[in-house]
Amino acid sequence: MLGSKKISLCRDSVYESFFKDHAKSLRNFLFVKFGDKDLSEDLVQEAFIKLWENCNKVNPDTAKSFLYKIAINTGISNKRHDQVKFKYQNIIVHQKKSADMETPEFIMEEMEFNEKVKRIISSLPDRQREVFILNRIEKKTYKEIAQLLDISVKAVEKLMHKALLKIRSVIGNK
Amino acid sequence: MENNNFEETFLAKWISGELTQNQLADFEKHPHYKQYVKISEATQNMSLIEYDIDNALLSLKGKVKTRSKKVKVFTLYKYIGIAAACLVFCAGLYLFTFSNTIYTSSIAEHKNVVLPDGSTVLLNAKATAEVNKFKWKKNREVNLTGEGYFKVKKGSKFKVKTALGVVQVVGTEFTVNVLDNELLIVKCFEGIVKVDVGIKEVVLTQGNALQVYNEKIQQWNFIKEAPSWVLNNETQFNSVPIGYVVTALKRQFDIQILEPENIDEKLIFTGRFSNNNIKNALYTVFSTLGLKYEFVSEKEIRILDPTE
Repeated sequence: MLGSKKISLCRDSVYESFFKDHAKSLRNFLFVKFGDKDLSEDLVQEAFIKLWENCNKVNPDTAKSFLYKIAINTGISNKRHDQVKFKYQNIIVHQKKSADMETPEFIMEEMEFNEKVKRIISSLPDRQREVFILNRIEKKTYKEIAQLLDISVKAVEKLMHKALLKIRSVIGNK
Repeated sequence: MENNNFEETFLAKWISGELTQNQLADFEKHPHYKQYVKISEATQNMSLIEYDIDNALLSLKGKVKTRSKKVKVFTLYKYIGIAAACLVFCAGLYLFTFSNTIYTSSIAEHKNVVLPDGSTVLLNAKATAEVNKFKWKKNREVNLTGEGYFKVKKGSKFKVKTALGVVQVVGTEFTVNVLDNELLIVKCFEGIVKVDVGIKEVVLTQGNALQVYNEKIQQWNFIKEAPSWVLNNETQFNSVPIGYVVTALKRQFDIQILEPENIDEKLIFTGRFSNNNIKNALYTVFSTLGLKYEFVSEKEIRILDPTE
């Protein structure tokens, strides 16, 4: 009892560090799920406000899943009213490689390739796209993704496999 | 491993580096291998648009402050609740230890009360004595309404407070009778009693009695060793207005007087009445004063109009 009281989320400092630990990852997850920057950031705010309002009811151990559940549910109900188009070209940025020894031609070619991959990612089925981005871009392990999406690790791996097959086949055809 | 098609999780295992050496060596010979490597490399360096976490926290704090008042009030209520509980507890404690103890006698009842120092008060019918036990050692004080017969152990000042004045003794026996908070009778049976009625201080010795009514003080002597209501269960009065005698009657008997306006308030009663027998008591009080009355029921007595 005393132990859990001490780290109660109602304490400003605990709440704040909880935000810093989870806000970005939640926002990116929502970003991937809904493909809308403003929506996902609003959802993060909403979810954290709900968490604060229930800070003495929510156990710190389950706060994370509480947060994700609230955000996803609110997001889904918002999305129903306003069908969001996925605009992944806009949300995925490509970091420049540090070693800039390549020729301009090579760089151009690489940029083209990257744009192509982004476009294909955008066109993937929802689940495949979620798994692929969470793994490749958010660098989450299959186990973490399985927990987030509430599916088995095996299912994650299958989706990942399918996504890679699809991306390669589209590139190969062009 | 690599026949014409992959196992359904093969690429996932490859990209996360979970393939065995042999599986990897096989895969490297696959015609599409280079394309997969390119995809892997390209996505390796991709990231999502930056999230301005500090800004987000700032705006969250603003929203939480304006919207979480409800929550704060709730927690405050909790503290108020605790405080209230403490207060109630303290008040209870206070009531049990510091506040006054009240003894009451009902109609026709004599009640003996032993005070903390061993002094006793015999309460006549319909009387109350209020004592603060906690302060008793410093202040021997009794608040009295009605009549009480005090036997006080020697010691510090002993005070009987009434609406009409304070009766103060050192160690003695006396009665104090308060009628309707308007008439005070003090009788001293032993020792010395000091009566302070505000306008005057009167000292009574054994066999002295005092009556205060309407700011007038009357004194007389008697030869009894104890009050008549203790010895003979009689009530005795010496020049007391009839209204207070009725009050005294009502203390002894559970009766109601109907049409009391037929009683001439100026009538003065001197004498005694029995506390045992209501018929005798009424007869001795009313007939000696020339009042006519009738029993309407066992408990209701109507005073008849004297002019009829």
